[in-house]
Formats: sequence, C-alpha cells, structure tokens
Amino acid sequence: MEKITNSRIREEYLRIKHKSGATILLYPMKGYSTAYALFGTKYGSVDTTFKTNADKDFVTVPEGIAHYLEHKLFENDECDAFELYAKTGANANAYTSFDKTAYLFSCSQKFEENLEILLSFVQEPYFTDETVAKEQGIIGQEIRMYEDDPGWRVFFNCLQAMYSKNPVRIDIAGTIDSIAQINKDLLYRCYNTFYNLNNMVISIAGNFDVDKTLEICDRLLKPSEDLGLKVIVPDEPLQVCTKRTTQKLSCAIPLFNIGFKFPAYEGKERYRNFIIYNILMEMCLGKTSDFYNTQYENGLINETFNVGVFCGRGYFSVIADGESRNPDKVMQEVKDELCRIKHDGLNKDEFVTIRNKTYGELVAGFNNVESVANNMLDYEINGIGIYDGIEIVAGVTFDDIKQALDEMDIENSVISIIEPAD
Amino acid sequence: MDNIINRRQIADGVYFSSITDSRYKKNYITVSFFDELSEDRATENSMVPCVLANRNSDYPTYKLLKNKLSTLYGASISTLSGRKYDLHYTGLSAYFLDDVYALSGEKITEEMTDILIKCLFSPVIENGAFPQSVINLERQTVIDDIETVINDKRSYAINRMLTTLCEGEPTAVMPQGTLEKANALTPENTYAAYKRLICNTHCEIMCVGCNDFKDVADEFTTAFSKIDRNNIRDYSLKISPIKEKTAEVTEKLSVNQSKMVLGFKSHSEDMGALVMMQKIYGGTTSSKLFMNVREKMSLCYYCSASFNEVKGLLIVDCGVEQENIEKAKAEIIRQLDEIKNGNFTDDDIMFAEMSLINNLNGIGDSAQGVAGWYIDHIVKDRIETPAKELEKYIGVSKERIIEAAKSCVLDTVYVLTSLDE
Repeated sequence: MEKITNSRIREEYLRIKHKSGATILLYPMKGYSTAYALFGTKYGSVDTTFKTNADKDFVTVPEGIAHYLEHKLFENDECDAFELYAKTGANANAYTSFDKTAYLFSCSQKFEENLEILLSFVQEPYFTDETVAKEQGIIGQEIRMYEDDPGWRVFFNCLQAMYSKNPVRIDIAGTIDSIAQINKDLLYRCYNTFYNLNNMVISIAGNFDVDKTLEICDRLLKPSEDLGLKVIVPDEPLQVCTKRTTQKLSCAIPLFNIGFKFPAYEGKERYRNFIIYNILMEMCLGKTSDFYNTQYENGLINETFNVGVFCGRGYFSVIADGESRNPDKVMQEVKDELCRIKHDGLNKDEFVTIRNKTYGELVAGFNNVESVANNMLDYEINGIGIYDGIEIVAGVTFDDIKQALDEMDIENSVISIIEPAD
Repeated sequence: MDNIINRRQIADGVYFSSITDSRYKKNYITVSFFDELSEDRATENSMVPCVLANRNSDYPTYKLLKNKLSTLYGASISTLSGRKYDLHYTGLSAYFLDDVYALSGEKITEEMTDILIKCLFSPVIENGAFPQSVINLERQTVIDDIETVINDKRSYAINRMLTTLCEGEPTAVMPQGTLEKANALTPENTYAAYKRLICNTHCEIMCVGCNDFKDVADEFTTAFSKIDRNNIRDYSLKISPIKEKTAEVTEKLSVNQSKMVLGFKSHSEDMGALVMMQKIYGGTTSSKLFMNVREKMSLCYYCSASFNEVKGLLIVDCGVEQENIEKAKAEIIRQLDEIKNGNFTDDDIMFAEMSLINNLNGIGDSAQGVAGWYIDHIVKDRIETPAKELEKYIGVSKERIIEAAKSCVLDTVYVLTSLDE
C-alpha cells in the first residue's frame, strides 16, 4: 500500500496493488456526502486485435464490441445490475471510451452494499444468444441517435480523415452492420481477455471508509493470473489520410473540426505533451489570443470555438472545433496564425498567465468527488498518478512550449465540415 | 447538506444569499434578474448578459478582460440566461479559485467581486447606449444561440413540444428569443432592456464557496445603493391549464432517428405523491419506462419521464425508429395505466425513495448544485433544505401514488420525424 501525497494542495490518497491483480486507488474526501466509485478496464474501442498467452493467434473482433460488452455486463442470469442498485438508490452507469471501459456508481448512502454490487456483477458475465440479440435494438437506437448529432459526426469524420489505420477512426459504438456480427462467444472471448484483474483498476473518491472498502475488495476480487495480454496497435502513417471531408446534416450553422496529426507518445511523455500542446494552443488560438479576438470580432468564429489535444494509445492530435459560416477560411486563418507565431515568436508573459490558468483548473478538479475518481482512473490507465498533472504543469518551461511549436507540422492537417442539410 | 442559507434584502427587490462551506476550493457567485418570459422581451433580455459578460469600464475589450481573468488562475465570468418555469432569468456568474490556493497571495475574491460588479453596473457606454461595435458582435452570438437550438434534437423536440403543451403561457416562449427580434437589436433597445433589468426586476445574488462573502455583500449593497430601483415587476407562477382534447403535432426534419415527446398534465396538489409517481414511472433505471420500453421491448436507448411541479407537467421523451413510434407510444401510455391500476410493488416505492434520498443528499457536494437548489426554491417561494424536502417523499402511500397517476391527463403528443416517408 502506497500513500501518495501532494504538498501543493495538501491532500493524499492510497494506491494499492491488490493480491488479486487489480490496482485500487482510494481518495477519501472529508466533509463530502457522496462517494463515487469506478471499476474500469484498460479496454476500449481501439482494442480490436489482440491475444493472450493462452491464444495461438491474434483475433480481430467486430467494431463496437467493447461498448456492446459494457451493455451486456449489466445482466446476469437472475437480474439486471440496475435492479440491485435500485434497492440502494445509487446512481449507476457505465461508459466505453477509446481506451477504457468503466462501470460506476455514485451514492450518499449504503456505500458498502453498492461496492459489493459493482465488484460482483463486473466479475460475473452472463451472455446468451437471446440476451445478446435483445441488446441490438437498444444499441441500434444509440447509434442512430449519434448519427443525428452534428457535433459527434464532425468529430468522427475528422478522426477518419486523420487516421487511416488506427481504430480510433471507428465510432465507439460501431455500426448497425458491425454490431450485427457480435455473438456471445465473441463477447466471452473479449471478456476473458480484458476483464482480467491485472488489466483493471478500482477508483473511489469521496465519503467512504478505507478499511471496510479493502475488506470488501479482499473478499470479492477473484485472483487472476496475468495472461500476458498483447494488443496490436496498427502502424499508423505519420501523414493524414484525407485533407478535407464534408457531410450534410440537419443543423443551422456549419460545424468544423480542424485536426493536426502528430506522432504518438506513450506514458508520462504523452501526458507531458498533452499539457505542453494545450498550453501552446491556448496561447496561439485560445480565448485571450489575438487570433480568437480578431476572428471573433470579424464574425468568422463564435463563442463555440475551442482548441485542445486529443490523445491516447497510438494517437496524438490537436483539434480546433467550432461553428462558422466559412469553415475553410477558419482553417486558412488558423494555419496562417500558427505560421506567423512560428516566425515572430511567442510571448513569455502570456505563457505564465496560461500556465497559471491551467494550474488553477487542475486544482479546481480536486473540488469534486466525481472528477477526482474519474481522473484517478484515467491517469492510472495511462501509467501516471493524479498529482503528476499538477507537477508537470508547474515544471513546464517557456522553452518547452517554443520547442513544441517548432516541431509542429502545420500542413499535416485536415478539416471536417458538417453542412446544413438542404 | 446541513448548511443553512443566509438570505437578506440589500435593496428594493434585491436579495443577497450566501452559503459558506470549507469543502469547496472555488467560489461561485450568480447574479440573476427575473422577468416574466415574453416574446416581446426575451430576445433583448438574452442580449444583455452577452453585452455585459465580455467587457467593463476597467477592461473595455474582450481580450483585456479575458487576459485579466487568466491571470486570476482561469477565473471566469459567464452569462446566465434561461427558462425557469414562467420566468426568464438573465445575469452573470463568477467562478474563481479561493484566495487560499493562490500561488502568490493574490486577493482573487476581492478582484473578482470588483470585476463582476463593474461588468454589471459599469459597462462600456458610448453616447448613452452600448457601442454599436459591441452590439454587432454580440447580436451574432444571440442569433447563433437561436439558430443552433436545432443541433441537439432531443432538447429541440422538448422545446417544440412545450410551445404546444403550454400554448399561450409564458413557459411556451423560447428564452433565446426570435431571429426577427435579434436582427432588430440596436444599442438603444439593448441598453433600455439593460436598464429595465437592473432597475425594475427582481434580483437574486447567490454566493457559494469557502469564503464568508461578508465583503462581497458589502460591495453589492454599495453598488445597488447607486441604482434607482423602482416599480419592481412582480411575478406569479401559474399551473398549466389542461386542454379538452389531446393535441398532436408532427414535425418533419432531416433526421435518422425520430423523437417523441408526450406531455401529461396534473392539477393534483399532492406534490410528494406526484414526484414519487414520476420516479416509479420513468425517473430511474429501475422505472417502468426503462425496464419495459427499453429493456424488455428494445425500442429505445432512452425513454424517461421528468416532472415540473410548478406547472404540473409530466414529460416523457424518447428516441425511436419511425416505424416503432405507435408501438412506443402505446407502451408509454400503458405503463402509466399500470400505475393508475396499482400494478406496482412496495419495492418500486422503496426504490423511488432510495433514489430521492441518494440524489438529495448529494446536492451539497458541489457549489453549483447548492446554488441551483436554492435559486429554484427561492423562485418557488419555498426555501428549504434538501433534507426537509425529502420528508415530503418518504412514506407516501401506494394509494396516494395511484391517485397522482390518475390525475395525469395526456395533453400533447409531439413527434419529430424524418422527411422521407
């Protein structure tokens, strides 16, 4: 058991490598009424080709299967996990992202009972042909809902334009056709591969008792043998796939995503670059930048304009998104501005201001039970600790930012546009 | 949440409330002006916070103000504008790190109070009105807000349904306003709307954070003492009348998935039973709508019910394939009939109670949650803690829940569906 402390915010939490194989992160927060717990696996929509020591060959599974599995795990042979949570009143949910799947609850009472429910159902898969088939209607409607969401579509079209091989280009829920190929055997194979406790993290923050929590973990976590999981991350070309992509959907003003593709980084280096490029982009294109103010006043962009880093296992990019009646002009102005700053240089005072702002936002995240629990899980899955972010921000120098801009290939970029349907 | 709200009047129709809680690392201040929703005033009222939030006499441009806020650890000034029952609230909020966490001893609270007050009471003025350049800029923000309502099909469908469900009532008015009125916004009519809001409407200042807010209260008291507050518009909230015949509206749009919204109305005064009934019907993941329309019949990804106790509205919404609309509608109505017929268990009642206990106990864990809770209850003229409110729900009998369900009448059915048929 490791106690991790941070002197800047005067807080601490526990990190336990449990004998079952799972990693447990416990962040008690005094005075809070709620507790928020996640049981997560390092398994997301990008993990489509994999094997363990027990398998002879790699297998490639249908798109959207991690998300499908998330839906199905809520059911066992007797009841639905939602029915169990109903008895405690907890708010329960689950989500699948590109690089992880997490099952969660928040509660202000009966924490131990809720934790028992969470740890039990995630470790007890139960799939039949009937229950798998039933879910196709529900997930089908989820997919259809996102098909109508211009903000979602413009983002995935951008990813497809940037990436030709990495499965990040695939919609997390898959497609109506891909989910039709999913059956119970495939679900069990994915479950047995990725829901091994050596690949899983339990993250809890807020109002709970550490000793009782560990007692429940000792009792319910089933020891797993490390099976030597291997996931293939396809070799992704450095260059973007398509420079421009458009789609028509029902919306009022065209939406755009402008994506800049970078080489992928791993572990702490990825997080450090995440911070560096976020600060750089905030300086160049953020709300206090000359670019934002000029183009806002010109009416080219509006308040929805935003820029940030999007990264994970095997991919790293910067995406500027927003609404504009002339998205191609926005793209040109963004590129021109980055070239101009590359030539004229960055402002050191602005760097200090933006770094302080980033620091303030990170500290504020420790205000909230839900964000502490989610961030602990997210950081752990990416191989770092929750306080590392604060320390990385404090340690970033002006030279780091200058170097990042020098290394950025401005032309390795794409634009995705959603135009209003006729 | 044990914190008791400290609320007092600081000027004619202006109230200052504060809640101090050492858990929060940030402080949150909202200043909201309340006007009855009306097509005449909604657009101009929405425009006012856009003009005020991005500049003041000390920081006359967007860039200068945003730069200043960045130096205060990413503090923010945001616009407030939206529908609260029959009312339109507009104003500004400030959210900032408490002084305790500043790296170099900056007095963030003092500076942010000053910035917020200057945004509200010392805006940039030219020739007795807002500058034309500012109006040109922010008018586009208002127009974009009106136009992009369509992007989120779920909330778009609910808003469209409300225009029929509450036809002729203030609630039916879109708080964003209309394009026609937005195009007619001028420095003069926006300034007149601004004066009307700060001089003639009810105002609530709500502070939640680890600060004691004593200096903040003094600053606001001084600021309002310089405003000529008069003819404060009173407001009243009215329950929505029930139509004699169910209205049915179908709208066609280029969409893949259809949206259906069913609006029921109740004139029962048994709020405890109505809220419990809504929970059992469609308020949780063990509710009748979730377990049947979604889980058993696989018709929808989401299908849930919400309840507006002031207006007496029970609203069910779902996303569904066009060919399944009638099937989903029949099942949604059938599940309400099940409750009317008493076909639910003591467990269902207990699950609803547990869900309410869980949700209400957690409200105190975020500053925004606390602020939202009390603003809502002040508007309803019923200030009470979540714990006190919970007493209304615990122990509601099955009979009362059945009666609450029986009091619900289907008033409006709205369907948004694809163009091709």
